[in-house]
Amino acid sequence: MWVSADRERCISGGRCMAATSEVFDQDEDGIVVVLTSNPAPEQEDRVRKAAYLCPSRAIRIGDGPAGG
Amino acid sequence: MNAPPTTANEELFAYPQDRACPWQPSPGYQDLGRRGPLHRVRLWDGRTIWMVTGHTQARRLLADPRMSADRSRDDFPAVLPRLDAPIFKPIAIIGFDPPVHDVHRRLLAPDFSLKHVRAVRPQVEELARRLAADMLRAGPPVDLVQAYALPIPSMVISELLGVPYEDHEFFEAKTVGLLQAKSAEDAERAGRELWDYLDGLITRKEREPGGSGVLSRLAGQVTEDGDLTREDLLRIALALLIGGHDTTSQMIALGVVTLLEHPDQLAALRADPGALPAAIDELLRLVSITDVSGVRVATEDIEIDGEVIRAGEGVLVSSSMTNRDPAVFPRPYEFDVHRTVGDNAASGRQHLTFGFGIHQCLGQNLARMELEVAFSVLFEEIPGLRLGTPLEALPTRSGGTMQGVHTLPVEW
Amino acid sequence: MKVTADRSRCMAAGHCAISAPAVFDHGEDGLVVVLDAEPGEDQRRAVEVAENLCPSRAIALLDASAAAPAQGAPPAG
Repeated sequence: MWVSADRERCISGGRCMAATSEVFDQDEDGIVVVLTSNPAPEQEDRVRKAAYLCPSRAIRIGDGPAGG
Repeated sequence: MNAPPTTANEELFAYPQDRACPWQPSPGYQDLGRRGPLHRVRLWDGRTIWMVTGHTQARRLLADPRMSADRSRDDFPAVLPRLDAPIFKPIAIIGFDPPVHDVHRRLLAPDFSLKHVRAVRPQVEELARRLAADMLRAGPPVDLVQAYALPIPSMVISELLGVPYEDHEFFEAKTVGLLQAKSAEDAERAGRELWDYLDGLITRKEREPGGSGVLSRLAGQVTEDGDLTREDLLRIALALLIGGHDTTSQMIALGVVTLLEHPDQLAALRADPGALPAAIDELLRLVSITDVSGVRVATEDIEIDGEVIRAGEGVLVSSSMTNRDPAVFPRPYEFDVHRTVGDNAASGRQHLTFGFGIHQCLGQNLARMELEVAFSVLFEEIPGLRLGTPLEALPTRSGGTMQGVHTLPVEW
Repeated sequence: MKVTADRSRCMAAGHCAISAPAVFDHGEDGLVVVLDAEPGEDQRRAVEVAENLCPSRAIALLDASAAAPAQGAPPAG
């Protein structure tokens, strides 16, 4: 799976980081930072949850290697 | 849209402006307040509206029937970009005028009454103690927003409405998405997700009547051409769900910050628990969590204090500044839990944090009770509580009107 | 001193029941109920607070010598 985040859309809801701090972090302005665009298989469920919960739908996911 | 004429070199105040201190109005609003009770300010879309910083003027205008709250009107001002989203036009109760407003408000009044609030207080205390125990078990540091401030009002409103708390992560996240959206498009997207969720929930309640909570009760009263249509019910469900947890959770968070940063006041409160109700209203006054007491549009010309608000002009009442009118609140910037001690039991309620007029917050007494429970239990169970981040480093909300923090790291 | 409460204006804010519990309560519908329409002078301050705080101007304190206020009169501010 690949994951990316739209930093313009991020409103610092923090749900992504709460779902998995292995894949998502926040910079000092509270805006999302994606730590890896190809998360390990065991992270996939949590990444899906992060995308689902994101208050501003800033997280995008897809199958295959990094894209989008 | 009737923008009042401005002189060529007059630069209007750009609204809104962020706070420097989490519990005080933005420095720009303080400047305005020093100059008088009424001002013209410019919004994001170039529109000019009135901003009221005087307490007497605010009460007069918010109680004036010539001021409309109808958000479906073309001339109703959207004070932020997100408020241009169709989902807000009109939001139930707060966005309607009489007669519809009055009918819907009275349908809900029993569930938000003083007696109902008192009846549910023991459950809220039990909940707060459980959350505090979970925090102690987890050990510091903890994010007070996720661990305590958000679950309390979220569970209370879920229970009251009959929304399954299991879905809380979803509706909390989408509420943040709606209320903190930077654009109308983003707000509409989040709002539609909540709308669809509530639509499905209400459908299930229609199929299984007799369920607990306001939504089940009202689902049984829906008629297609009467006082409560199905769309009315959906709008009400949305308004109560989002109104019922975001502001209260942020008020708990910023209230804790304010108390921790005023240890003399916190100590005074611990020494005198009977002062708690009045202290809650003092905190509400000071923090003014939504920063806005109300937004209206004039339906006729209104004369006030030598000015004329023309029909079609927008008016915004600043709670943070009207709550600091020195004619009503001596030493207005001071946090004083004993401000109204010795006075009537309701004297602390003069602030305009919950608004004024017929739209004064329906949930105000529920909110007061939740705040009383939240602060008393927290400081009882975790007396050594302290901020886990310096005050200046707290991730505060910016760019909007509703104040708060994204996270509140605490230790003990 | 006479006290009146207009239930058609009441929005269930509850300030009257908090400020003057001997004079005001609310019913099951959440709306104001006047317990004592002619309270003693010891209730004057409490009733004044209730009248001032009521957000929908439903509460009126009438002195024996004053005429009743006109319904729908603009608020005194």
